Amino acid sequence: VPTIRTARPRWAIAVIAALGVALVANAASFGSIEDRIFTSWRAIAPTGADTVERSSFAMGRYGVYFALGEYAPRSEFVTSSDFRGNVRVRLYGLARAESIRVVPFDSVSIANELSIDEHIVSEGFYADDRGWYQLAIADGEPATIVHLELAQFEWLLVDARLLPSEVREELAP
Amino acid sequence: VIVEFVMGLSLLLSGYLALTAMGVTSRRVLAGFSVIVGAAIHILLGSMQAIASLQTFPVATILLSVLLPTIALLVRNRVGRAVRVNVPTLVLSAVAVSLVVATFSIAERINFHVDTFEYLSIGLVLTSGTFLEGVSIFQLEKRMLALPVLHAPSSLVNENYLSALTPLLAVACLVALGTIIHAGLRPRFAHGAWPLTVALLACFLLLSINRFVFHAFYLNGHLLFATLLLGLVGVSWLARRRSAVLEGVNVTAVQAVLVSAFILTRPEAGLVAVLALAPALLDASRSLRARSWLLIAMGSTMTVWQVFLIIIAYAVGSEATRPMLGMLALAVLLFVAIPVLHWHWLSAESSRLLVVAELGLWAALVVLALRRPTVFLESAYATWQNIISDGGSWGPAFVLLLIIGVIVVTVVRTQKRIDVRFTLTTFVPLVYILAFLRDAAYRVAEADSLNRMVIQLVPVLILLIASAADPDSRLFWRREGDAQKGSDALDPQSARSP
Repeated sequence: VPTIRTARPRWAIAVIAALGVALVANAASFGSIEDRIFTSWRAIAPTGADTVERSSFAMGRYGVYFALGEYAPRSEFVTSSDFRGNVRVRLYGLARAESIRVVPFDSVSIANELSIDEHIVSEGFYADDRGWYQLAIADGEPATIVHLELAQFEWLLVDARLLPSEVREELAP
Repeated sequence: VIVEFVMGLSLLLSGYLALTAMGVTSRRVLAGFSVIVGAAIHILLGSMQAIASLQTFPVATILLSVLLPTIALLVRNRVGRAVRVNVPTLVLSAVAVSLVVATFSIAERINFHVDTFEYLSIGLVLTSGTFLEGVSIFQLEKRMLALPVLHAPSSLVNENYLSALTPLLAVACLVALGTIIHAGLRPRFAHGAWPLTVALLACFLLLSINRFVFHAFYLNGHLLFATLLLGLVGVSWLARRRSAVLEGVNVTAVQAVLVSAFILTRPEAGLVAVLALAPALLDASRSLRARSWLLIAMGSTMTVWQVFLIIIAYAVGSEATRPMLGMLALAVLLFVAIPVLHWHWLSAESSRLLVVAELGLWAALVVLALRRPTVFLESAYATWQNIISDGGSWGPAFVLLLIIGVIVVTVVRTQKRIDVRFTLTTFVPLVYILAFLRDAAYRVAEADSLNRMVIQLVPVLILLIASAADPDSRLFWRREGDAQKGSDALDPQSARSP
């Protein structure tokens, strides 16, 4: 490819101008939305606090992970009712382990009898104005809706029936 | 922090040694591409461990990712033209990587949303020794292995991710973009200030985009996808321009490594890889052997991955999904295409074939949109809201880039940019077709899939715009040969071969 000896390469000047305009426009608007980089989806500054046992993470196949933050509510997920088993919610290892409870949507104080389908959909939760997180699970009838009490940033929800026995024992109340 | 350093430096060293073994001697290419190629090698080795049902030991992955390029280098020096490791550049690059890692390890800032946990959970079962028992086929098909494998070393210190890794990839993306633009344009200018200015402005422009900074901290595969795609397309662009920085370089090997890792980043990556490399595969100036190897690299990766998914699916009592079978069929087609490359008319008619392929994608989109207008209209509305009305936090960035990009594509004719242009203009119909394939429209939200996928093509879009700085560019309605006159050549006979 030949070298072009030019004093004023028009196309380079045009491209520099175009890139420059876009750069200035971006830079000018960046300040107004810069907070959206770290706050919209909540940045975590790990505190090195407790993490739950790593063994529980091995159940990714049966677990659902949740994060706080803005997420569009989707209420169409319902669960099949062919299984009732113990469900435990464990804190995912990114933040502090504080109070986490699972309660049914109607606030009946049963934390561990939920209808869970293997194909849990991990989307479809939102916080109401009391800071409760609603989860609607999988497909089928009747709908099972679960509230997860707001504690920290994220949780692991495990279908305990499907866990290896040693982990099940560990998780047992 | 130690693991972060080890990982960052191992990516650099692995890529540096591999590129040297592939014949790269250009210091800027070594500095600009090493982390990207190192990440690709790490992804491939980690994924191979998982697919082979071996427990993924992050230490083993790190060691292998350095050891194998070292062996490749030794073998090359024994049987081929000897190459030496450029130690000063390696040391300087290591210092730069260390600074980046130190800065972002201390900052400990990340972004996440629900998808992040899917990736991290795969990473956790990957290193727990219960991969096949613990992993979900639903997760694996959608999230794949690239990102979990890269973050797997965090398990060595009982963490779930490496906080400096994504920022390091973002810096690597910026450096690669500057390197590609400068290396491609530099030989065309007598004065080095012009290409340098274009390259620097392009980098600063990318850095000024709110969503790029967001993705630089976001634990997801989008930026990794963007970076590998930039590397892949950038190498094609430089190769087509006969860039001096690729002289004596085994370009096929570089691209084979990049594309194989790229395919493992996201579900749509296989389709994008085929489209991004289509111009190179039809380029008669590349040897048949080289093009065949690219097809083999893509076909093998896709076949192994999809067969692995299908085996897992049946093992857990599920069955192969349509996307699995579709991608497997595509992989078979890639192998079938190897003998087809011998048909000379393919290369002779490459321009027309690419036009037909692109029109085919648009036609498919039109048919799908007519059959299910709601999905298309909702997706189009969401795109408008997210990008034009700033529902997706892009600010004016993407609109401006899009306007400039459309002008560059429709009004400016620049030679040898087909690899860049084709990747971009086929990406547009492809992402909307994906909405139909996944059976759900895109939506108005920052977290919308398409809104996040947009970053995947932004670096390539900036490369396209920068490529128009070539002095031989001309307006579409001007005849060939007018360009140099329009460039105010000092010396009418000054055009020379470098």
